[in-house]
Amino acid sequence: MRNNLVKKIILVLLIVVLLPVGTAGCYDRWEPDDLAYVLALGLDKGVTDKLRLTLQMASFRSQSGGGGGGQQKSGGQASATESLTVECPSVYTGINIANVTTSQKISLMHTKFIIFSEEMARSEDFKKYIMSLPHYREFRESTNIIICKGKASDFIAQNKTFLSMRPAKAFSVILSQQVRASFIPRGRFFDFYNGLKSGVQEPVAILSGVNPLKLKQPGEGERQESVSGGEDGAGDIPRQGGVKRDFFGAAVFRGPKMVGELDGNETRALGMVTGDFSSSDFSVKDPEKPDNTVVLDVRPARKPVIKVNVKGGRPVVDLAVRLEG
Amino acid sequence: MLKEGKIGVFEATCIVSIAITAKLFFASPRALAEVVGPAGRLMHIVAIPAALVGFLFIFLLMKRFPGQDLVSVFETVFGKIAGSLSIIILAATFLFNSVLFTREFSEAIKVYIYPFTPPSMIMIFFLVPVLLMVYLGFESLARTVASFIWIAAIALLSVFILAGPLYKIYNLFPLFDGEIGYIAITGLKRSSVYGDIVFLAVILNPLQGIGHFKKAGLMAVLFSGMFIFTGLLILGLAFPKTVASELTIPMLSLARVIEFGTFFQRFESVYIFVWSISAILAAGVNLYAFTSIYCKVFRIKDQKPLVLSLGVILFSIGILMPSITVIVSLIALFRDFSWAVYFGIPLLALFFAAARGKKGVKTGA
Amino acid sequence: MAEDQQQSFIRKLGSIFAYRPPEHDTFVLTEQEDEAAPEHGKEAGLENYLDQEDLKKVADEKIREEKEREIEAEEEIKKPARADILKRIRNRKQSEEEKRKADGDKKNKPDQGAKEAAGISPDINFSRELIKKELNIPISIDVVVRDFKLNREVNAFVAFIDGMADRDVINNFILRQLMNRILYDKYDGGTMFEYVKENVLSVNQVTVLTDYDGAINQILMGVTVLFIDGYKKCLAIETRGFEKRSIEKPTTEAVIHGSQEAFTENLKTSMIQIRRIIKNKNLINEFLTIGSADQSGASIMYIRGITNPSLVKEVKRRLKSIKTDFAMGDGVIEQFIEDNPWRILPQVINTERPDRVASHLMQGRVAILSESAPFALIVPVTLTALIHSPEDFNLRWQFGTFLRVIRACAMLIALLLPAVYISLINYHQEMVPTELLISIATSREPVPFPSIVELLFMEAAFELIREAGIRVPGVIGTTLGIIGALILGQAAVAAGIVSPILIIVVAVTALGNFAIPSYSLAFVVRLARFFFIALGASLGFFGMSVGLVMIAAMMSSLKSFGVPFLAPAWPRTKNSGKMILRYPVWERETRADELNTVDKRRQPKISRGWVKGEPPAGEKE
Repeated sequence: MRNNLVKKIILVLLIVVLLPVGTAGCYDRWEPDDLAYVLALGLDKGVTDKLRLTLQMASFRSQSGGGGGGQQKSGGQASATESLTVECPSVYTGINIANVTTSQKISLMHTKFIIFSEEMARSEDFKKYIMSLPHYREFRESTNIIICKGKASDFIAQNKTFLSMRPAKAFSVILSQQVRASFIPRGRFFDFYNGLKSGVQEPVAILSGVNPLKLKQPGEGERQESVSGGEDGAGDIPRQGGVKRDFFGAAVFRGPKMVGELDGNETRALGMVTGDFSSSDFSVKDPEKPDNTVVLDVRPARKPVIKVNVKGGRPVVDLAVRLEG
Repeated sequence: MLKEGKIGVFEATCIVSIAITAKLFFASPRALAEVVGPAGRLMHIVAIPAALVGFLFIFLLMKRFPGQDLVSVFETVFGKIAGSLSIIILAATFLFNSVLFTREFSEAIKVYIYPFTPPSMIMIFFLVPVLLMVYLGFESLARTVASFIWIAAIALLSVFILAGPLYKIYNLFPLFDGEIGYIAITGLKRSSVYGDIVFLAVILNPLQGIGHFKKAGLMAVLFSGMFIFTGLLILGLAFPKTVASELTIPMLSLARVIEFGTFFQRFESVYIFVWSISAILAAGVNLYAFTSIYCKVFRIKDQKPLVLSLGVILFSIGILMPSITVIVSLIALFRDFSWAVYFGIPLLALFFAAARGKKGVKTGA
Repeated sequence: MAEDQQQSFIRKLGSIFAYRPPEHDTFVLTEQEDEAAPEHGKEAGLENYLDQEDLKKVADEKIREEKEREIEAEEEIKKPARADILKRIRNRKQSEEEKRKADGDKKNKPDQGAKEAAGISPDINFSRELIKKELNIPISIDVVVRDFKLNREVNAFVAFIDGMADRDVINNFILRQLMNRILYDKYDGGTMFEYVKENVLSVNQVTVLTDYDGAINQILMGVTVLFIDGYKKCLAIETRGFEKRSIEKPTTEAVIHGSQEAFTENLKTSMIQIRRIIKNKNLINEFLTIGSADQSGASIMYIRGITNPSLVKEVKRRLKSIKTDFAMGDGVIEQFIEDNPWRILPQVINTERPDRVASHLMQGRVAILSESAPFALIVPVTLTALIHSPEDFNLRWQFGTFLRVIRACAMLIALLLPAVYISLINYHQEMVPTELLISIATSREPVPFPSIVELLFMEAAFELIREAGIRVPGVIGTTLGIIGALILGQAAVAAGIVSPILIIVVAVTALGNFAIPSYSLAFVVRLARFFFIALGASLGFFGMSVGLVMIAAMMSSLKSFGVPFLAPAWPRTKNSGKMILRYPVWERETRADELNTVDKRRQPKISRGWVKGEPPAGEKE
């Protein structure tokens, strides 16, 4: 009996402590520093292969500024990310290939956005890639889908932080902050995919571009004065300073194929119709004194009411949008 | 007799509710979306009354034999051997249900969170608390379940609320998709989701009386019906029907897309607690239902010696199933036909009793 | 041969899993049947609280007293028979002695059965010899036997233990009085024994004893025993006066608001401390002796008319049944009487605060005070009682509730935080905010160990600091904790052995642990933490939920003296909300339901009488 007691105690201890650690300990365990966190993923049409995949990953180097002894000064380098481009037949193979260069395992679990080049979005291949995304475990459906004018790899090269040293935070905040100003649509993959699959909805993605960052000199080129602000497309916004990437406007799809783009102003109107519009400042010319500009802060008052009647074979859409300024 | 202690209406309601609602957390809604499309919630409007009618029959049967639990009722009605056989079929259903929970859970969690861990490992971990609960007996099982019901309910509600920004009313339309008749028939079949209320008849003695039995049964069906209905409604609001039939575990997918400010996102890992705890509890309840019936049929006084062997049986049946597709199709089959066991056999017993004019001896007041 | 061994090993392994029926029946605390009968203020009969043995003892006492009176009367008549009786007793004594020797030397402990029947011999020489022999004089130097003559003619001696008995009392009020001839002036030749008891001794408490066994016990407790020649009884004179510690502040259960005194090692003082708080005549204090070698005493306290009698009986049954050589202190007694020694949850409340004991007594619990430890045991225990601190009740209810919520959080943190940390960074990295995750990863980069090793290393270091802080003497001990933690943490980070965030995790965990009011519960949490770390490190959140279900199942199956551990949450009762919420004092109308007390009501529905009353005239608005 006494002997049994001792054995029982030992057995319980073994079960409690050693068994779980010893047997299951390692299957899915990843130390955080054994993973490389992809913040942005860019997809271009490949040259030698089908796809050119660009990964922008958070680097562990310039982050240690907060620690005690680290005297590293990153100086003027604003970006704490590093990027990598591979040519590959599919996204996941591409990630595997990219793993050759990194000592850590590349992980998509913290990806903030996925960038497709416009060329890719307008091609047939787009459907294949977008449909395969949700089958990957690490991919999250709250990731943003971005269509960029020009090459995705160029875009990622310009995808830097401004005013901030923390790329992960900056990348996740910048879009939600801009959605609030309503110049871009809500471009989450979740909405995009539902739009793609649903019969009553078409997907919309965030449009972006690389801005040359050059304000035009007086007398150089013709440009119309803006009517209400935001008529420019992505990459054409007249501004100087900051980083070169723009998020502005929306890419419109019909099924899994991009068919057109909206500028900032049109995107705001789209938001008003769908109900996603949150608030924005409109500049309106005073009808009485054309030189004056009246600035309106517009917010939705109610959800838009949409009524569809079929009259003589043609649908008539009644739309009631109530706004307050 | 088996020592089962005493429980109240609340605990009984919790036990049955968790066994019913835990199905919502796994592949069932997806299968439902495949069968009837977005009309899953409509189907449950049929299924809940059907389950209530089924429960009425069980109640009438139990009322005819006051003071007896289902096992002894069956033995009185069908005779010793046939009665034992029929109740063993019921017990086997419960056992199979708990096997399904075990394997379904381990596959689900493997798909989403632990892709490299072998399912047997997860199953062993899963079975330890299940067996412990059965070992400790009914009273502590009931109390454990009832302690966690708040956490489960709050978590479920928080998913419902936090996913609010994702709801699109137009995903619900068209409201009536498919034939009404087809939906109704599927709904009748799917009343087997609520079949776990039969368990209440097995534990009639610890439940202390037919009045408590009635109350607990009604509450359990209504509460879990409400939760399942709301859950399906919310899935319908968030996902268009074409997407809904693609998701392996719709509730977890919903939790994954929750984004509430910059901090409240990627929070689905927290829901793993709720998912796994409710699966463990549901498997425990089903396994205990089996144990209880088994002990009562064979007049075993203590369930403790059975536990280890039960664990081995559970594990082996669970590991026998080759893949998740088999499990999912088995579950679909099971949901389609288990009503015949859950409600059919008691109904048969009721007819038998009425035809033969058998009645229980009225005891007390 | 090897095969044989292997088989036997497998059999042994099997025997561990083999089913064994429970060793004892579980005690169920039942509702008192005549619940309606005891109105408020009406007393429940004392006989309800006494078990069979006690009742028999009381009856025996009566019978014996009567008999003695008869014998005394007889003795007066026929003195010649005395020698005969003496001889008989001696013979019996000798034969018993022989029997004991024949039994062998294996038992050094004194055999109680042998002396039991021995009434005190009227022959003082015999008594002296016996006492000397029993108390091992002259080998034992602290026992004193002092011979003298009463009234210069009657032989007498006192026996006491030097140091246990108060020397002042013996010198001034016993020996001086006894040997003072003036006091015997009135002696008319009657019974010397009664005369001495009534007229000579000026000590407050004097008891008559009739057997050697009792006398020796009393001597060991510090009482002085007086034997007078020619009587079959002796006098136990209260002279207990040993060195003891004075009452000090509680050290492990300190509060800001509330009583500031703790128990001491002295049983009497402890009892008085409680009595001083509960000035109720129904507060009953029973004394029991536990342990055969050390004869340590324990006292059971309960309130008649509130406490459930069957609870009292069960406590007594368990205490009386203990057969051990050495049951010192509350910790040992606790381990002897707890229901299920295999569970790690505490099944008894230990406290060093008299006010806490008093409040539990008023709730209808039973307190066990033991000698030589400044702690009281309270049974039965519930989780609620363990996480409540006496401070709660002294504060206003809003603050009390807030403190309870904080404490509940602290308990969860102490139990789960390291496990949550390890599962988060090893399995659920997606849940950590990206920025934080990257900085964790960056700070972890120079660390060469896996995080679990880091965590265990740091936990071990903190446990070491904690244990060493108790052992290190005096002032250094308290400072060592702080300095050790600070320097160790800082140095470990600088040396690249652990990552800085881990120090925070471990430190917060330790803080959470210190916030748990019950030391024994804190210990459970301290141990269970490692269990959760193991589960979290092996399967992340899923592993932790397995652990949570297991702990919950264990807790809900546990019963302490027939009361479910999770009461009042399960089983559900009216006051299930009291677990976390501290109700306003005027709302606390009933006693804890799970204790099935005789008198369930604490206070009337309207306890603040002034609410219904009128303010004094002229003061009204």
